[in-house]
Amino acid sequence: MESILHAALEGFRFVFSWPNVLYPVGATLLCMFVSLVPGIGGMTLMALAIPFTLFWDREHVALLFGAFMGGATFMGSLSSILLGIPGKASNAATTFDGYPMARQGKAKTAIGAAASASALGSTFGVFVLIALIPLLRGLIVQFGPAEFLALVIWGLTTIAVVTQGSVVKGLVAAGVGMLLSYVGYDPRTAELRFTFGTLYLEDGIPLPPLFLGLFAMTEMLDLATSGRATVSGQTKAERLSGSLREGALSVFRHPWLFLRSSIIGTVVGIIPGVGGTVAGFVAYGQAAQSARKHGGRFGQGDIRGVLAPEAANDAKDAGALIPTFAFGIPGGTGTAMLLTVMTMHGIAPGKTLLTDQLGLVFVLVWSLFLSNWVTSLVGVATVGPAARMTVIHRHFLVPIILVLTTVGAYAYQGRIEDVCLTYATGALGFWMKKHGWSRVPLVIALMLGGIFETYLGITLRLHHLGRIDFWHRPIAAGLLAAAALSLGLRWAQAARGRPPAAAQEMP
Amino acid sequence: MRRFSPSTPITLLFGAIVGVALWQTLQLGPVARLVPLSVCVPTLALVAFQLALDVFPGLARRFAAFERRELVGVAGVRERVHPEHLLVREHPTPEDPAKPRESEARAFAWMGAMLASGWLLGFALGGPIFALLYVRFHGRRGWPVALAVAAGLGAVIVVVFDWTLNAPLWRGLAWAWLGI
Amino acid sequence: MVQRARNSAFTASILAILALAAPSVRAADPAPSAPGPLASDAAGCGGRLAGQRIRWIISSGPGSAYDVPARLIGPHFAERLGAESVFENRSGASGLVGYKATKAAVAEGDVVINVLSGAQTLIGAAHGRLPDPVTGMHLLGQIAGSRYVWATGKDSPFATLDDVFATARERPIVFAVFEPKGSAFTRIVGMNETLGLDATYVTGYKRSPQIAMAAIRQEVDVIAIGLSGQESLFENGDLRPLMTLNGGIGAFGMDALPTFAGPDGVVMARARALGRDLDDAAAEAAAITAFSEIGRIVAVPMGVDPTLIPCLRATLEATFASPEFRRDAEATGRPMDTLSAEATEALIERARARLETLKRVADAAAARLSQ
Repeated sequence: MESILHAALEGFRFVFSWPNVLYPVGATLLCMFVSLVPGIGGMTLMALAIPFTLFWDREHVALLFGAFMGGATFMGSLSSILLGIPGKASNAATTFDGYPMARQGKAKTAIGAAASASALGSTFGVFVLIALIPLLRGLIVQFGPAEFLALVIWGLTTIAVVTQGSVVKGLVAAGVGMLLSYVGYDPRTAELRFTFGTLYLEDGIPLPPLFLGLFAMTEMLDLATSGRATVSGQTKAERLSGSLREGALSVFRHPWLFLRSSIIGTVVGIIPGVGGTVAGFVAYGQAAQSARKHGGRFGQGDIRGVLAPEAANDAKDAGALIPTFAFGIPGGTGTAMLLTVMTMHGIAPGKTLLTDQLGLVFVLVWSLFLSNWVTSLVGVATVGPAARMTVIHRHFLVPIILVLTTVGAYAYQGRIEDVCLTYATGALGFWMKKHGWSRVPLVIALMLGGIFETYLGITLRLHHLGRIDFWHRPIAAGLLAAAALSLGLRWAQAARGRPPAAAQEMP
Repeated sequence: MRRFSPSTPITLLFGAIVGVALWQTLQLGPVARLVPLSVCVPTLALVAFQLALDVFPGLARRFAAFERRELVGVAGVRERVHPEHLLVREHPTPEDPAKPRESEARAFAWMGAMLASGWLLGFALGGPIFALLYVRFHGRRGWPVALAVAAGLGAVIVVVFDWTLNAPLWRGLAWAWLGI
Repeated sequence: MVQRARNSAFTASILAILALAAPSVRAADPAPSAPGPLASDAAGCGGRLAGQRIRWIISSGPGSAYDVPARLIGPHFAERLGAESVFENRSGASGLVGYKATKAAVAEGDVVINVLSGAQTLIGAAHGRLPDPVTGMHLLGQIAGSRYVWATGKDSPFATLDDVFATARERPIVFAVFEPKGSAFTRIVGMNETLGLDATYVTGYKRSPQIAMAAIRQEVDVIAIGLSGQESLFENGDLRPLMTLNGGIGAFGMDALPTFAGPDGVVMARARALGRDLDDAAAEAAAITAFSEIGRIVAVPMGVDPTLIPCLRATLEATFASPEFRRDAEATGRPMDTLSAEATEALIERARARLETLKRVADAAAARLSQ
């Protein structure tokens, strides 16, 4: 433990020394700038940077790529809150309550909450990583397909909680979302499903263009047709209510929620291959489930609906490094690219990295940590100008966002079909929103449906072959119990006559 | 007289999606169809139920009572909070009830115009031109303002996509047709 | 007012840091191996591509094992032609999306090179989805090879390959594989068929790390895994190698491992043990090895000026041999295994000799999985 602390301090000193600190700060700012465009993020910059950093020394490579990993997240949160447009799939859960807050003129509060939850969530993840370094390898081996299946089931049960309005409509939307997630190849037999002979759908429905449509396009159509002049309904920034300070301090008013969400984010980040996108959704769901005091107004601008996914999203970044360092197994796309870079620079994950090269590990970790704080601080510093986006007249905002969304959808894979998908889902999302069909269950089911089927198939096959005993997996059992408990709590609330989250009056 | 709910078209659309999915699922092998079938059948049943709620007001009232109690609890029933209203509240009532329909058609028309503009002229040019026309003719702003918005947007597209990311953008069919 | 001033000061300081950071970052970035004196290719291009843009369309995501070699080779290649390389990632549909994007780019008049999986393309051609890489495209060469290893988890009961064969007499050996109909599935099923090994498959995995973890957790018996990107698992002892496909791996103690093909290979030993025709077994083994060695190929679709092809091939070969590229390649710490167009064609022909058989057994195995 002493050597770990020593390495952590050395890494900290290296990252925060001059001029080394310029690397992560510069990279973060560049990432934030690029992430202004919906659909573009840190991954693109990482790919571009690979050949350029070939002859850099390993420490500076770690500085740069650690910052790229953390740099794009908060910009995605900003656009989620201000415009209802998730910058990345993982920011979608922030939209559910962040955007309603902006519409109520409380953008500053939401941004403050997101910034503090983001920075502190990242801090939590980093310290968990440090604490778990001696246990990393044993930990990951325990989490197999059965455990992962149980986690996904828990995530799916949040649909029942976050569905507002008609339960029937929510479940139908969820069913449609799951069916959309099955488009493409069946993972076990490679049979093509629901592609109608088109090449475009063979790899499934691409999520970034779909999210751009379902959120960005929908919100702009809604704005254009709502009669509101601006997102917040106010035309002068001075009339915006909300307080940055109140938002930033909200983490401390909900400490247990923050802790739970950060743990969820870290755990999800640890699981190899998940990608971390589910972290925000699962955290949001558990926050909605556990809201008892004052009922809560989830989906209508409850600050806890911002805190939970933000904390989880940033905690997962550090969590995703755990399988990467321990085994050389990426926790998501960003860590996959990081792994490529590490290998190219002769940094071999595993025992050697965690013993002899621990200092390098901490350079990367502290760079990620600094990057998350920089994005939060920049977000806080720019809260005034950022919040002003909610008073930009729709005659300017709508065309700008429409164009950037269109370009972002195309830039994802260079396919015009993605643009068509964005427009189609934009129209669908608008009609859904207008007529009382919640998009939330559809999105959650879409995210988790395919993963559920894949791991169900693997788990059942392994159980059938006698390789695992599904009924004797304590972690999986615990997660399934958590899912059952959360469903049970919801019914119990209704039976006691206590209004759950969705029932409160809007101000 | 039975009246369809305004959300019925969505119900029918989802019903069509699930119906087509079911038809396709039945043509798959047993392993590939297992999970999709398990989703299709109950979802289709729920769609049918929702359609019945849309069509039969009596049934809708009885079910709404159940949903009120289930969703909002006894306290909510006392407050006469209807679940449908919870979402409708997300959308502030427009000032002029007659306006939304017209502005919706116009909004969709502009959306189509953006798609057409980008498709024909390419995004780097079509996007700013669309913005120019929107701000000038829909927003009824002056030419200087409209040009400034278009120029700024074009600059962002060029700087981010061309200079920074070196990502090729859709060139536009018109140039290919014209042989440029 | 005070709040606004505070915000402005903070924003200004961030911008100042950015302004300071930019020169530092640029200064810290040594020019990637500045290509040598411009050697405009004297083998026939004759400056025809000077000033033009060469689009590399990579049928895989950014940072992948296809993407990295392409981005390393591209600048050197373009410099020799006096041109500029730009890169696009178009992954999907086992390379078909990238290929179609390449065709569209050719139709627009661009000089475009497609980077794709040789084995996957061959399988795609066998299924009628992709053009044949030799006759249906202008093959330029191979930019990165593939090295495959059979492995098991460190706590597995199998110490050697003989243990696997011994166990196979009692029960089927469980393999973790990617989706059926892919090149990896075809290779593994083909190998098992050639070895006469009774195997069963767990499919649905999407990435090599997931398969590796399945072996480490002993959920499956054996995995066949590409070495690239998984070196650390062997270095740390998390995976125990049992057999190499094509030999030549001098690290992690693999030089002493049995190899699949060759006169002293596992296939021949098994053929003798099982009483199979030795010539037939040798031919199958050679075909599977060739199929696996094809690696990442670069090709130009039909429609490009055919008079350009010889000079593009020559330029690529010259790039492979250039000291600047070699230095960059060594800096990656991974072998690049480049091959000329002719050598790559020869590999493909050897694989094609038994491709129908491979495809047939893989399809049969996939059909069983569908039941």
